[in-house]
Amino acid sequence: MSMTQEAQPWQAPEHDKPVEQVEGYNFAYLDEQTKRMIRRAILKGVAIPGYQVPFGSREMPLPYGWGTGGMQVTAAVIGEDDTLKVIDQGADDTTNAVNIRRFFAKTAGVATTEKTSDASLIQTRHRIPEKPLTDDQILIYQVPIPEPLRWVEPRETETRKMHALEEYGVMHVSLYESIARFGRITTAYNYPVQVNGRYIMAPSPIPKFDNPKMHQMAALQLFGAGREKRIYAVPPYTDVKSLDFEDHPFTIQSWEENCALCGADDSYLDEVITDDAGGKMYVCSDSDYCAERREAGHVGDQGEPQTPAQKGAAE
Amino acid sequence: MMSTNSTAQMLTPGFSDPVSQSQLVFRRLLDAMARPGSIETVDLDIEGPETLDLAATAITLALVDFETPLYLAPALATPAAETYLKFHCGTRIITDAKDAAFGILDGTPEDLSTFNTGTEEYPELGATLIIQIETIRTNGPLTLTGPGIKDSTELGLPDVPASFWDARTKLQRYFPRGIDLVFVSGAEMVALPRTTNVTLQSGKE
Ligand SMILES: [Zn+2]
Repeated sequence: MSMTQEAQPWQAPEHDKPVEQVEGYNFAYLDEQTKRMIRRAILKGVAIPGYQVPFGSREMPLPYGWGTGGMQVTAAVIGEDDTLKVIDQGADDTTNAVNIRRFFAKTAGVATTEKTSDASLIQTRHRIPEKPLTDDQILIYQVPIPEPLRWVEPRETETRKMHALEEYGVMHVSLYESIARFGRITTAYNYPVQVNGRYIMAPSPIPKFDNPKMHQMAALQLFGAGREKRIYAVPPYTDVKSLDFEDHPFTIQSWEENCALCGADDSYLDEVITDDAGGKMYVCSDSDYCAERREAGHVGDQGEPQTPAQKGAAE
Repeated sequence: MMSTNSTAQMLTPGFSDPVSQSQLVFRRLLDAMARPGSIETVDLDIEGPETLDLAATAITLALVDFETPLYLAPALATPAAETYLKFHCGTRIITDAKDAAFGILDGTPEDLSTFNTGTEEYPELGATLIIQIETIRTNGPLTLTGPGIKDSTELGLPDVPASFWDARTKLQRYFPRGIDLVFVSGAEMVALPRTTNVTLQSGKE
């Protein structure tokens, strides 16, 4: 697959093959001292759910915005026996996801996969897989802006105090103003949550559709922000509540359509333009979820039934 | 068994493969910390100091360095142990518990409050204590609840006195400040981060 190709999300590309570890790199790129520092920050993050632990971010060979924070967490956690999946907006085959997967295949020699159920580590940007994660998995989020209070208070010294004293009134006021002005809370992505009844946390720019999946998730969730040098975590089986009000309860996005390819009525859908005349269809944003459903025989309005021969070819 | 003629003779090797073994030990500890009450085993062969359990040596080799001062309980702080940890971790061994990022103790401390609990604004500065005990078992009389635990789980640490749990529960009122505990016995470890609620079922001690 070419690095520049943006394959259509529903086309399952050829599985990445493990690449021999490249000589001259440190395992997973980072030096051991840096890994120790990041590992200590991760452990404290787990011990204080939702609290942003500062850490000394190191330069990674990709620009900020490519998920350097998530990559540093992955680099500190990953081992030879891991199987890594990387998703970007739900798809495994975007340039960003492919690059990160290849990076770890090369520098750590690990196996990679596009199947959610085969992964021990999943690094993600902007989505949580539709398939429920298990006790044996770790989900690592790439975070651009870790501070959920940033848009109500720009000063780091102040937001740190607000978290310390659990002074979250201004956050609630701000959300309520959105209701007063628009009749609802307009935040559709990075919708703030409260973790274990204590810290307010930015879930990263996932759609609020994914927020309920964070609650009591069986997998450990780790978050890395490279530019702002913060790591935070949600342990397994931990309460994660989306902020809301009694008269305006939290709701998630829903669609009138089902997935055009697999017919799913329970997954997050992307609108896809199909021709120059403005034709469009809705398909699962989680390409592995969609592929697995189609392999199991589910067909949407515009999907083609998979014959056993096609199934074989796809594998 | 142990020669004390010179530092060189006292010094046994650390990890045979530091990169992969550090990662392995970290992952076991991450599993332990993320799932309080689950007993993890460090499956490694390390010839560490005689006074330290294998899991204590392994965690220290994996995570402690010049940025994290280490407190050693007096009973564990033999010249051999100090030499080993200074050489392999490059850490400072300190005698003032308050300044320690990590501590290795023989049994639970008389007074938990002698250790750093961090601050409201920087609670991650609270210490990580590795506590060596004889026995870790799964069948109570401790009941654990909190983050990382589905519903509740049982744990038995018969060497830990009831008074320690009372002191720890009092300390928990100051969350997010706190101390994170890793109990070790030989190659086994079980973690109790500051968020884990521990109740002792009465009459079952
Ligand atoms: Zn679909």
